[in-house]
Amino acid sequence: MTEYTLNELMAVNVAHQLRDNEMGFIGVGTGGRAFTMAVGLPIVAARLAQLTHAPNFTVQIGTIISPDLKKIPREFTQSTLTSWPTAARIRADDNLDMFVKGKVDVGFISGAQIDQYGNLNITAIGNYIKPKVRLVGCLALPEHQAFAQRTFIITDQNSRTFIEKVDFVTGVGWNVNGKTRKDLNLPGGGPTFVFTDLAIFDFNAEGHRMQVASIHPGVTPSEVQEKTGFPLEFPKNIPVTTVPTAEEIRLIHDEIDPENILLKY
Amino acid sequence: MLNSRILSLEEAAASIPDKSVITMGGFGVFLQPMAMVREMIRQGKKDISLLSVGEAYAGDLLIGGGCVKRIALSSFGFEAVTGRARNFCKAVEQGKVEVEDYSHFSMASRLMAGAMGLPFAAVNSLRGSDLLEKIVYEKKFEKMKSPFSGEEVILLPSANPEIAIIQAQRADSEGNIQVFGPTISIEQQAKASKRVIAIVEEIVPRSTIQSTPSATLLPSLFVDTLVVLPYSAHPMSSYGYYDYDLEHIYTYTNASKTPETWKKYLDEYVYGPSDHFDYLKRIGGLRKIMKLRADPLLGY
Repeated sequence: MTEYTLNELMAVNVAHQLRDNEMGFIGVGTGGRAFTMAVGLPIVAARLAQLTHAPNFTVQIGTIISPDLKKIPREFTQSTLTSWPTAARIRADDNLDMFVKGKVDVGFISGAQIDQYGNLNITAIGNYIKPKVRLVGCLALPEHQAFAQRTFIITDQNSRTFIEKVDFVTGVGWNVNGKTRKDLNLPGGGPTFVFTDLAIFDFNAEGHRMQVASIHPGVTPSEVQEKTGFPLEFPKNIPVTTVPTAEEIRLIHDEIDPENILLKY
Repeated sequence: MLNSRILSLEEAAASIPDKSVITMGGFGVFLQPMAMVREMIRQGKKDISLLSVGEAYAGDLLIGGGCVKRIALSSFGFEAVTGRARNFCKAVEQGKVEVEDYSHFSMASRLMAGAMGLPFAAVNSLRGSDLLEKIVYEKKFEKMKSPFSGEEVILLPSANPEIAIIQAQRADSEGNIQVFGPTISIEQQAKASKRVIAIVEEIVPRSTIQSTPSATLLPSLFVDTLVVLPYSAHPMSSYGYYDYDLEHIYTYTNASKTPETWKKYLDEYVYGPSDHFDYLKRIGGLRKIMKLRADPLLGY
């Protein structure tokens, strides 16, 4: 049996959902675990998709479009992005066009809090004006969730992050305060999947509540429910998350991330 | 064209009144006017409102220096290192600084509208977000039906800061400003503002600018004051000139963990240095500068 890490399991499953000729938008991110979730893991998934079933999948990372994923830099900052061979570098406000015009097929996003409708909070925990914990702000999360054709949420799961109601709605999922995406006239396709360290979720057709799509090997349904602050729907026969093939792991280790920069944390 | 006035860093900072609404160019670890921020702290600026996009380092230092009343950014995240912008986060958590949040593109749109002389920007990405509902400091948005399509749109006021402080690579003595690498919202920030102070690494001959006119992001018409100071974005980067200083960024983020270590940081790197060149000595001098210096052929 092929050995793999949890991050590799998640990255491979994200890759399986990417389609040929799509463009994914990845932020620039910070460091540590947040970097892996928001930047490292999506880049591995994108390159893996290119090397397997979706050779023409491409990405926009911050203000650069279609960087050469054969030449992934060792660090991710505005500086290294600047010297990364790429097809285009655009202005910050031109970024908006990419979203508004529906050019972003897949938005890779993450958050500090998430609720059952996929509403995300990256702004403040507690009272907004005088918060218990102040967070990063908004970034492009509202644009991702408003305009991307599909958004993939990648985050760690526990009962503090998966909660009934987020303290601040930075980006809108399927339903906020009883208003649906249709009510709000949001053109994007809404949250499609949530990839966590325990399971993969999607959203049910009726009501768009989060439901279990598959559970990672070795994780129990009760553990998943325990670490979720709202009641989850489980399918009758709960699928086990697809494990990586030997070839997928070889590609990640040998070709995509040989120095283990992208999935380190 | 009208020449920009060339001033020293100290003179340019002295021209920024307390309570000014300012914007600063740059993003992430890239092109933030850090020497100007340090000088503003030294001069004891008070009640500054900063309205920008992703200038978290400049904003965090300005807050740590006690200069800020209100801050409006779309990213308060530090690039390159783990952890939050602590001076900013603590100040907000303790109710010492007023904060306004925007998404990247709602802020970029406000600046773009300001630069184009339009009264407002129409933005549709904020529908349903608490960004619209939890704003307290000023009326920030209005909904209206488009008179053309009938679609409901969200209007945000255009941003017209009093002063833009722009960090750039080079200019000629007239003040034609060239920027290399990502330009983010720098052009819009400058054009939206009533007055522009640009800080450049070096003055180059007019002929150098003339032979590369497409790199001129801001013609001197838009630039009121020019400051010439090498390594003035440090510890941020200036593409083609020098990289960001990760070692110093860690010194900074570690120092911001407690009031005592932060006070020491300010004494060592802000209040202590007799001028910018003394600051450069304290961060490692020529040895550090050679390490950060860009390879002229390969960029960084």
